[in-house]
Amino acid sequence: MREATKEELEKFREIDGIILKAVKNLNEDNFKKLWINEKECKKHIKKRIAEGVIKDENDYIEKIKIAFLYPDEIKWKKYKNEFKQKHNRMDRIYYKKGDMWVDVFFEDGKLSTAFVLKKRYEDILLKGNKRTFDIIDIDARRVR
Amino acid sequence: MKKDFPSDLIDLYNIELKYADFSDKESYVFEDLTTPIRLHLQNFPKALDKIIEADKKPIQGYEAMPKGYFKDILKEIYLLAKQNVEAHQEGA
Repeated sequence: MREATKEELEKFREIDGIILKAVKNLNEDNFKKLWINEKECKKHIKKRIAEGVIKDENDYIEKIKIAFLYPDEIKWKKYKNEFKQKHNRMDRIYYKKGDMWVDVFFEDGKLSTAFVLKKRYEDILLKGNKRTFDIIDIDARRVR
Repeated sequence: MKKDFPSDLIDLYNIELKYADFSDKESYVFEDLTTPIRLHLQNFPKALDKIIEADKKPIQGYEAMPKGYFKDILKEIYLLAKQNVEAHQEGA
């Protein structure tokens, strides 16, 4: 894990700004557009209701909004360029609220997933071949 | 120190796999959440009995999947799932 460089902070502000634009006006009508496709959106709502961590779609939207707008921790999982090109991967941004909730966004501003943390955060964050990515600690006060 | 039995993670794994779609290349479900959970559950032999049905899905998914990145990242839990299902079949 390391601090962001000045250039990385600039890039992060761009990504964060794209997500902010989508999230601040989020509602049940445009929620599906936040995901990579509608199927992913529906699947995640069903899963979280089945897990008992949300009441309904609106509750999911609110929890996603709170974690993104008021995060206690932001981490950027930044893949090495060679790896990204070879595997067509996108970086992920993790917005964590307390010890409870995590939003995971792709660098293009789409939501990958959002869930209640029941597992050690580091295990989720550091999943994968550690030589293929950096974890960058983003100070929310410096980017918002 | 005795490890707490991870009932909530067993429930979560079963639900995640119930909705997992391994034919969808845009689905990243096993990368973010499911894989770390499955790896953790391996530390609890009694938990493995409770995830037999869920474990069948990554086996089918992996075997049907074409070679590539998704197959590579699924391999880790595929091997554990296969071991679990086979052990259960032998013991049944």
